[in-house]
Amino acid sequence: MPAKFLTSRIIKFLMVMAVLLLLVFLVPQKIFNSARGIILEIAYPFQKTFYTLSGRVRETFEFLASISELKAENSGLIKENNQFLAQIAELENQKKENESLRRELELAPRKKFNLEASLVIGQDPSGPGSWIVIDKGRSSGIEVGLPVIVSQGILVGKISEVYPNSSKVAMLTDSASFVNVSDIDTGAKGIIKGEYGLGLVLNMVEQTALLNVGDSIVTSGLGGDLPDGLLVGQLQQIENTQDKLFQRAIVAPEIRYSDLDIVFVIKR
Amino acid sequence: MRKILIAILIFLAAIIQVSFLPNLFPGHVAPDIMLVGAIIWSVWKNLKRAWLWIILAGLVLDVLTFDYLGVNAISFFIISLGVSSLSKRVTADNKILIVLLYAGFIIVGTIANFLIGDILNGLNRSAVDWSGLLAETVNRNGLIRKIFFNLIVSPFIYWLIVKMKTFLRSGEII
Repeated sequence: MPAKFLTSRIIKFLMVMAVLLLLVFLVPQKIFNSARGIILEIAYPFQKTFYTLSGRVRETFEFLASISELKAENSGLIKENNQFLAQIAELENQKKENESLRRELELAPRKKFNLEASLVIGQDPSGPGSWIVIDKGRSSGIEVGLPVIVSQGILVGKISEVYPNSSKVAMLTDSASFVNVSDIDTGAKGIIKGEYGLGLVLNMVEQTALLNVGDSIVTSGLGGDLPDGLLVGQLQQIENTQDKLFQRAIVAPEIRYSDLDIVFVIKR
Repeated sequence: MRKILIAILIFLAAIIQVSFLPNLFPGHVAPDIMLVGAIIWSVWKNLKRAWLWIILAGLVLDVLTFDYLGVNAISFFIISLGVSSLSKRVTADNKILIVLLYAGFIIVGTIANFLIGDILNGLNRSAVDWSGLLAETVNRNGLIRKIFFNLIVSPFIYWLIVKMKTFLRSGEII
């Protein structure tokens, strides 16, 4: 009896494993996309509610933790405010100069895009940096491949999957992410690749190209999938590749991807 | 009715793991409450009737985390089976030993989940770095934090499972 039971258990285990492995390896994932879409449709209102709620809980905890620093911060802010009042007039002139420089440096003018504002409703539970879920999908005109920015024109990722009312955004730091970029100061061209959700690496820069630590890296527009002039990050550390054919550099993203609440999708 | 309730609980747990918990924990690394629940259940109760629910939990998580369908299901199934088999061979009367036993299973289960997920996802993309896999997995900050957070939430998950069993009013509810 025990021997028979053992055999049937092993058979059951093997059958279950075979079915699951078939599911993972042999069945094209696109077949299940419609089923995934239905489940995501059902989950969407819950995801949005829970994510918003947890954001408020986090803010409450952060506020409580910061109470002791508020008084000192308040005095400092009053002093700073007085200084800022004096700078406002100067900033108006700088704004005009900035717009003129942006045109000269071929940065993307902020107002030329058709933007779809979206709330972040989920993210990779393994940690920030690989993907997020936003609350806009096919019904709002979102398509795969569209760039995703934050309000200052900083590129954070691209739409990788679209469902009726939600979409998955692959962040720049995702290992599968590749973006054509250029150094805004020297014009050096290269490709930004994500590294395990943790950072960005600039690769395939010619040896003769000039890179300086602190330079800003923007999208180059090559390939046509992303508009040019979207800010990606700043150069931190420059080195040669092992074969010494190209230069590579570590690029620090302009913002922390873990703090994203609202993003904008650039629609066609 | 019980089965519908269990399915709803699994669905909500998955949503909480993906959309609620990342905002509350440092580094936005969410504890894997579904995995912890599966491990605790496998140690505590008979896996014979629970394995289907454990696989369902894995599939739901695969959908919500945009993983290849079946990755988490396989991982949960293998880990639960291993934990259930090991727990039958290890007995402990001392409460501290029991707690350490659960902690050990959760630590090993979390590492196994990371490894299995990395291998299956990597095989699918034909991109598994075998030589660096273990070192990369262990050294990654997210894994250490995940083990720590899984251990922190495990007493709460254990309590929830006890309450759920009482609520559903059955010795072996699944």
